[in-house]
Amino acid sequence: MPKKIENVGCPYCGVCCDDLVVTVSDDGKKILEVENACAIGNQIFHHATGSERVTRPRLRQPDGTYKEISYDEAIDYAARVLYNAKKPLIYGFGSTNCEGMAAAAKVAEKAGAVLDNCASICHGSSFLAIFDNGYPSCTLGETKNRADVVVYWGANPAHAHPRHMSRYSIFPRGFFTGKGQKSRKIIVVDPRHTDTAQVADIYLQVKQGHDYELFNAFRTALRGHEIPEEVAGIKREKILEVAEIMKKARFGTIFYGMGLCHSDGRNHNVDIAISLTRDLNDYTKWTIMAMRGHYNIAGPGVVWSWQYGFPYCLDLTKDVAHMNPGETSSIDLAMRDEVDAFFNVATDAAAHFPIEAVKHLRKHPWITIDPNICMASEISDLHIPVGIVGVEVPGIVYRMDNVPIQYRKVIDPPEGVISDEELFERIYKRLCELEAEEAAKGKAKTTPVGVHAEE
Amino acid sequence: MALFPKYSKTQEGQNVIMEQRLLKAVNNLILNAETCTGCGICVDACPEEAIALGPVGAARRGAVNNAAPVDVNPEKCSYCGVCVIMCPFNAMTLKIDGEERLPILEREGFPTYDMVTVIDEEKCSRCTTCDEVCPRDAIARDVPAFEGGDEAGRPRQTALQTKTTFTVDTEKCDVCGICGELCPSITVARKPANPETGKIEGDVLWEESTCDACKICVEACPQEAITVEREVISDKLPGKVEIEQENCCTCTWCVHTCPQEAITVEKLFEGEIEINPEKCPGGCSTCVEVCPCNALYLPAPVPAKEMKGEIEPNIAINKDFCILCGACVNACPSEDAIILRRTAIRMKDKETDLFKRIKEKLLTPRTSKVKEATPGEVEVKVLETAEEA
Ligand code: SF4
Repeated sequence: MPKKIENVGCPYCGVCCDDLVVTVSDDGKKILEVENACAIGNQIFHHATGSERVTRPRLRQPDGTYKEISYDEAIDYAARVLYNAKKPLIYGFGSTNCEGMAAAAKVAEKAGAVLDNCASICHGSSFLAIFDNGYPSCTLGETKNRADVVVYWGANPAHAHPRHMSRYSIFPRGFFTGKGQKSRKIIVVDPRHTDTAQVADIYLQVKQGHDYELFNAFRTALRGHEIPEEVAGIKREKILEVAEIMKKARFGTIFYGMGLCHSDGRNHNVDIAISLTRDLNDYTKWTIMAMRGHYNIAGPGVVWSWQYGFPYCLDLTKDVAHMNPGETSSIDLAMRDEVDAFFNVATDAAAHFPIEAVKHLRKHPWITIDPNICMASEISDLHIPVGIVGVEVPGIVYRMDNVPIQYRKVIDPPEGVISDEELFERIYKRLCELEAEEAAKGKAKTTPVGVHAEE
Repeated sequence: MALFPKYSKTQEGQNVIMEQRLLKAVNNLILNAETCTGCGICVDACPEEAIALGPVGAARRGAVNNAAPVDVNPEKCSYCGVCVIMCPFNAMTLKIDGEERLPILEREGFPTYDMVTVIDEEKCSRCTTCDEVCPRDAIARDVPAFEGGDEAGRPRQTALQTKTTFTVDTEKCDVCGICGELCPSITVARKPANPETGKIEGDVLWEESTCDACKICVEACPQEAITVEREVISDKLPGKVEIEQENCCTCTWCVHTCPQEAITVEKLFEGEIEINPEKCPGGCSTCVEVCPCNALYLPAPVPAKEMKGEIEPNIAINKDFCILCGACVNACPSEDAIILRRTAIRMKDKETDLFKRIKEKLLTPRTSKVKEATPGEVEVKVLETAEEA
């Protein structure tokens, strides 16, 4: 009898749907059906038991091909790279559990590495704005149960967070929002008429890169001052109309995404959005929330803040942790060639970093720790596969509103494959051993076995 | 296979045309999918059970292409015209050999609705309220346009019937010409300057038909020589406001909102509509959108501090405007949220046996149903049998 497992968490986007029902075959080896997940989430589960999985670490050979090695050998290689590097960079962590993040931080601390997560190319600008201006936010349940006005500003959940609208913001019928979508006004601000704009009551087609001006206009209008005829491509009457709707809301939430974080102004777009939220609270209740990307990208922020006091861009090369995005962020370090080893963990820096940064990083040892074959694994010197969190490995993940959710395991990882947490614990142990060995025999560093991959 | 009778159903714009073609004669039943509300009265009225309810909500919202709220089977239809008579929204037409006719009425074989739709001409002030609130466009407001509502409309002073007098105190008037400069109704006819007298003389001429007694000339005259007086003979706007009976659905919006209480409309049906908001799933509002009378509404939420332990219901109705047509019951996707109980129908002329059978069906209490037997057709849940008032 195939087994149905309920309350399964989806390891893809920041909505962290935890209502999935997964049917597993008799022998517990194959995922037969995934209910409730969106198409993306569905694919994650089916992919897990697909035939294309890598089940052993792979080390680059002189001829450019990969050769399977044992976990012990891989761990030794990784530990030696860290041990020998002056300033290694350990980056990623959007897609693993908090246990893995804590173990990796332990390794980074021991190795004197820079520890960074995907926030630095994503919502890192949000953190900067939050440091400046605060974060008047809420949990998603509050939006579901109370919000009668919802703004998506520079975000396209229809494509990026597919069940966000149906679980939390537009369609659900909450306690005080019994009429569901009919109890809410949806406002979408985006230069493109996205599929999210399609379901909006009001769509503001802002000129790309002019969000700051539009926020300014809203704040000015809210305070009852004159605004120009047109701002950022939006007519005055429309701005006044929307400002009035926001002012009259019972409870509002602004969700924002890469439209603000990736466009001109970066953190300043976010900090004026926060200022607008704070202003609105003079009249009624307003909250703001970053549409965090990966299912556990809020995790490293929480875990490392608790461990070191800083959410990202952590420089652990000295005894005291230091954080200064712009100086200690992955892309900046790569572009200035300040690091001499790169660990790609639970992410794909090769696909998603600017190519110039990838070219710099590729000059040094590159180790990928990831369940799957991806661009990063394909340009690595060493690829260590791990179990997929939420499918094969349980653990804590933090949703976009920083609510922790316990993810379950639905099947066993492929025979012999270990978790991120176990891998980092073993690298840590190996690092300690190396340190002890070296201390015993004095300074004589060995180069790691294996060959650096060709360009 | 027999060639005749030949049946067909075609779509022409908003009309769905059912056809029965005999050797020479042609019968057509024409359904206007635009005016059809999905009330389903024709479904109950059809003696041949040839009409079925379709996707009422989706069709009314325009969410499905080319779908009408009801579907007539052209082969089952006997082209009797009972649906034409019984449709409260005038959405059906019967054509016999291309001519609009209702033989059943010609032979007095069926009663018709006893419509009462009167506007008391005396009381009606020709205001614009009924025209605005009527959900069926049944108000024929035949009042000329004035400049307030239409730039090209008539001058406002022509709305009133007045007697205006304009007098100039010739003693005081020095023919300065200011009044004539200001107003098109006034012409100052000065005599040529005469060196013999060295004085300016002349007349102030005034035209009543264009004067609106604004009195600007009175106020502008430096010599205070002008007096304007206006006596209103009638302040009644010209024209007439009437109800087009064939479009009226007897919702009584106009009756309830007429500031002069000048309108009398009798509803077609008597009975009760019961709303159970706790059965409404919320977030749907299909009933609100299909209601031909604008009687259903989503209650507005109150500010937090005024909630007093209560959350507004998901759905509500203003019974003043409901005509018990049943479109909401047909469109509602839930079960038991709306219960319709008709108890009487206003008819005139003799109630035939056929009508009595139809009446019994129409008076059967009903509510909506979640799981229906035939896919694509709406089926209502019949409650206890009809009770006549
Ligand atoms: S919305 Fe996000 S978390 Fe939910 S199923 Fe889709 S990818 Fe997974």
